[in-house]
Amino acid sequence: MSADMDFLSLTSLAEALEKLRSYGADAVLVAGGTAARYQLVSGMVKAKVALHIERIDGAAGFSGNGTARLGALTTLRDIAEDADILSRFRAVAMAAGKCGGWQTQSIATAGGNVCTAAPTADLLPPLLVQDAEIELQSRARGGRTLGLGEFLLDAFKTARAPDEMATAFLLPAQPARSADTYVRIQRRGAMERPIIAVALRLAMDEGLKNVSEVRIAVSGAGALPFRATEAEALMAGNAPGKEAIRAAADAILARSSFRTDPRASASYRKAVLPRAFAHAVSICSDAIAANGA
Amino acid sequence: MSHIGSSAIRSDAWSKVNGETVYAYDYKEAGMLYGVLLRSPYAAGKLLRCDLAKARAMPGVRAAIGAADMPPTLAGWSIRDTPLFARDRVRYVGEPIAAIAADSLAEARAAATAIELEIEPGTPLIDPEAAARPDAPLLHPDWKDYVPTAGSDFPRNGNIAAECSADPGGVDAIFDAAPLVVEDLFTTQRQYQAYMEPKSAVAIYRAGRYIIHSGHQFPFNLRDRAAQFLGVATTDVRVIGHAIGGGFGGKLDYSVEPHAAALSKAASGRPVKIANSRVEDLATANCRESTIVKMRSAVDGDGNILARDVEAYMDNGAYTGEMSYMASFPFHCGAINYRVGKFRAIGKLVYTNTPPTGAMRGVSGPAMYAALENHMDHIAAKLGADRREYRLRHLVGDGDTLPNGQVLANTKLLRRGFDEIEKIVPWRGAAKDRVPYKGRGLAAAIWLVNPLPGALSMKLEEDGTLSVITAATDNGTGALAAGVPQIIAETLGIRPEQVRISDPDTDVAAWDSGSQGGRTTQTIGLAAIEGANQLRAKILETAGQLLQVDAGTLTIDDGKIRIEGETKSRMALSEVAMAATFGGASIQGTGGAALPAVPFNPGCANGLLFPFFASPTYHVHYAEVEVSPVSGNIDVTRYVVAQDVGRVINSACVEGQIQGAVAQSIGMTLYESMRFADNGRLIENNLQFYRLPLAVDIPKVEYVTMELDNIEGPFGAKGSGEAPILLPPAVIASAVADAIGKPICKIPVTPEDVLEALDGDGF
Amino acid sequence: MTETHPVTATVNGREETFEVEGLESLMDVLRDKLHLSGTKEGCREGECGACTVLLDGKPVNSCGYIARAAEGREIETIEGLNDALSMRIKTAIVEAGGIQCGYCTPGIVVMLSGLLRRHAAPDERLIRQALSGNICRCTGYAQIVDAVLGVVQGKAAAE
Repeated sequence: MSADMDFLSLTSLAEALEKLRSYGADAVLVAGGTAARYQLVSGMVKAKVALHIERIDGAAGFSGNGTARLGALTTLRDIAEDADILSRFRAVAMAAGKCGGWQTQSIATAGGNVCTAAPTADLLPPLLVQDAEIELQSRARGGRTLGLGEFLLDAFKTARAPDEMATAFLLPAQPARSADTYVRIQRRGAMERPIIAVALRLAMDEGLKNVSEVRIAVSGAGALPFRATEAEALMAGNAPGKEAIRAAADAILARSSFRTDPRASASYRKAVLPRAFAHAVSICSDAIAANGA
Repeated sequence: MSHIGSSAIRSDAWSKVNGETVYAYDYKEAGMLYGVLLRSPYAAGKLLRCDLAKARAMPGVRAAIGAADMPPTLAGWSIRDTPLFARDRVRYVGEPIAAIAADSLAEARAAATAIELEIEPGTPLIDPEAAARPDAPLLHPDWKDYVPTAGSDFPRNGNIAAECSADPGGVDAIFDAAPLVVEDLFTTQRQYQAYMEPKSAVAIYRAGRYIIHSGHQFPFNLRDRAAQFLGVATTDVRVIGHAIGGGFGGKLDYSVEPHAAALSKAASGRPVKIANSRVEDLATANCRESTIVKMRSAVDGDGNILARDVEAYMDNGAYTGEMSYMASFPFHCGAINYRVGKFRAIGKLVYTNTPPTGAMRGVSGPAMYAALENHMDHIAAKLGADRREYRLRHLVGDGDTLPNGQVLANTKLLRRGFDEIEKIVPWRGAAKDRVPYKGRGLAAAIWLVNPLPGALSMKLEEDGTLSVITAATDNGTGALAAGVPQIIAETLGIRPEQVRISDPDTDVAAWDSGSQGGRTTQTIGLAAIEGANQLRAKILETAGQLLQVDAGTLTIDDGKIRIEGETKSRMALSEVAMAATFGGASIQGTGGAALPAVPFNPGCANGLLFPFFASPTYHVHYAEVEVSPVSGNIDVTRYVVAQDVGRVINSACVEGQIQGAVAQSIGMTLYESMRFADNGRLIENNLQFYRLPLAVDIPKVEYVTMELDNIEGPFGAKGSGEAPILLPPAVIASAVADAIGKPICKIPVTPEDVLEALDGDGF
Repeated sequence: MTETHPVTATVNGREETFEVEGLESLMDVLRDKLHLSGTKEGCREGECGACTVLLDGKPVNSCGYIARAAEGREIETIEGLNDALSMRIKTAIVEAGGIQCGYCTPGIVVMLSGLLRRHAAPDERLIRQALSGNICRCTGYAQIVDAVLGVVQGKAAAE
């Protein structure tokens, strides 16, 4: 462990960006530290200085009509309990509330969850199905936004430059006649990383008969959560019936790879993914129907 | 007002809820060093070299010891097969090889990595059935030289560490002629006790003796074991007990205490603390054993069971500990609850290259009852009979015997258990009542109370309160924090909060057999009545002299002396105590008890180390489950218990035992899993992977306590802490099988099992 | 010797300054340096909740929290939870028999204080969800949950 590591508690974004500019790749960002401390202690991540950004002003919260802005330092518990998020981006709130226990959710942040880019990070699938963008800021170049899909490079690897900090997520408004959900396969009722998780955003056409657009993101079926675009294309324009669901599930499976770990076997993951997907479709269909009625 | 059956607040409740209680893990001594163990990374292998020289030279190191520094002695609860440090071979991942004591934990850990270790890895034996084959390599080539700790030797052979068998003859002929033979194979995994406080000890070598501070369920057993390992006389070890953060059988034998003691001696008597990390604790705990049970029944056309044949393999791990006794349980539980004709059984306890197993709450019962009761389901299914009706038709009655020849009485409680459940939730087992993905299960058990002895002494303090000195321990059940004080209060005429019970100290207190097998409330309760009655007689005699009346006319009421028939009290207990104490001697009493031995047939089996069921109790459980066709997850939606408790002493504590044991057993049935890879390393090696049940996973248990006068317990009480853990695997497996229409023959029952069974249902 | 850094924080209402090494956990500081052993060590993995403390009023696992990040913060441990709400919780658990070995109890009381400060009247489902990060191996949770429900109902009746 880096016993001699410097630790700087920062209170403003400007200060954080300034420190990032001078330390660059030698710095690690620590918010609640629920993942960062483990990564540092275990040697997974090496750094000369930890920049503690948990108490930076103004980087938490959910706001905006139309495109919404979720501050990167919003805690998972605050996301899980935010009535606005629950009604507008249900899957995001559901995912935040399932990540660890309340003790973790109290301090773990959206930015930390996404930027750690762990294979089972809960916020990734629901943000992916919203086509969310991540806002990054640096002292040298100012701000930029990047689609989440472009931001995520590999497990524990992102496109964040060493002098950048994630400051927010931008979520475009959901279309009419749509619903989203997060189906997370886990053994116990809590305190589990997902074995398989499916985030789904389903939008129906005016007659509520056919799918106008569907977005599917899956975790537990590859190195990182991914958008199952082939399956999305197969479902669009069709009724979300058994056949369409089966074809889409096959398309998801075709680009999935499964591994066995102490949590579950590869064969279970493979067996459960189509069921989780079908379940997600039925939840969203039912929700849209209920709203339409 | 009677104190029996109340929900009196336990004496330790406020200190625990305020965070004031000091557990062994919190305990510190001035000048204390920190000890760590170097543990084997291999499950099997030759230990070629263990050189401590470099480690000894590391900063802060005060002592470094290994097998070469210890007497060449072997120790063990039932058979002396265990070295303190591996000497020439390692037998499981996690086996201690050496120990370091240093000024800080970080320095001790750094020094441990500097130990030069050379191990030639071997091929580990992981599967007990394979290890039991006659041609399997021996884990203990010297097994013949091992000596039993006490008494005569028992059936052992190579990798078979203990064997209990019974064959009345003629069983095969019955099977050959039977119109129906039902055959099953059940497996269960290990279960980690998972007490929330990991194991730890602080040991001090002082004035030629070893003082061990520990949070231990059985201090006198620890004293014995430490003395064996250290090669000293029993009384050269003194064990002082502290608050126990849960035990469940996991803290009945030694763990890190003798290592800490040896380190303290090597460090010139500096106190040494060794505290397991959770990962270390999980990897080396003496878990409930895994089992393989083959069960067959020969059945006639009317559904009578003409014969039963049971063959069981139990995983001993690399060393035996207490497990020799458990080899008796396939015999005891293979033909229990329901009438069976001829019964043949063999239980084999098998050495494997895995951490030693041990006793966990309800010992081998959960596995054996899961096998027995699901086997009963399968017989009923073959006969087209209703599961409940079939059970009731073959239920044992008074005068029937257990396989050991022990005659059963009060079996009406077993039948009443079924009736009580029926009142709460009427049985609907018919096919027409089936709801997709929902199922129900019903099962019964007969259990025992550990009969081993215990004793205590007590004194009346000058202020009229009572101090009890005992080596009995309260691992959380409330036996000493509530039950025994209530029993004493009731006997003596004082209030429970006026009774104070000491922490255990083997130098001070009389022998006690530890918190195991539900014995403490019952046996220490009996001892307490005896002591309290002695005290009462002396109090009344002294009071009689002071009041100049016949002691026979006096009584004690709420801590005051009263003449029978009068309403006004004459004197406070404190006045009697003062008069006695300063007039010559404090008023003291002693008591001791063991449960009476039960007559049984000594010729019933060979190797029956655990011979009888003392103070038998009767139990029926019922569960409803719902399985998810999406994930295969199993939700226990309802759980009902009917339990024979003899008599409730503290209702809140009895409820706590039932709620807690069922939760722990649901954990074993659905969530907890302990598997070993081929190289002998534990797969579920932390609390992320070893899933303990959470508040969202466990239903609130509905329960009925069944009371009946019982002369073998204080005010009729029987041990109640163990039995509720026995049946959740049986009833939940049965309910899942009901829900999915396919038999379940393994514990844990996983979502993978469910999805596999549902395969073809589509999604 | 490893380099240490002074950290000043409010612990149970009192300003305390303590020396902290590198990434040392808040739990180790509380237990070893401030001798507040009511914060229990159960796993060091953030799985059991025995080390739960309130950090600026929010429940966190102190075993995984970097002590240096606590500079200037307010920490409440079980030893400091003597406010009226915490006392109601403690009394209810004591009276319901929701304590056995007691090792998880301080963490559970701290968690419940955090819960009831945030949600005045949680239902059983929310109580059980909030307690999911606190493992109790003895009680099966039932009497603890009953105790909290009693506190909630008592509060409702009083208001």
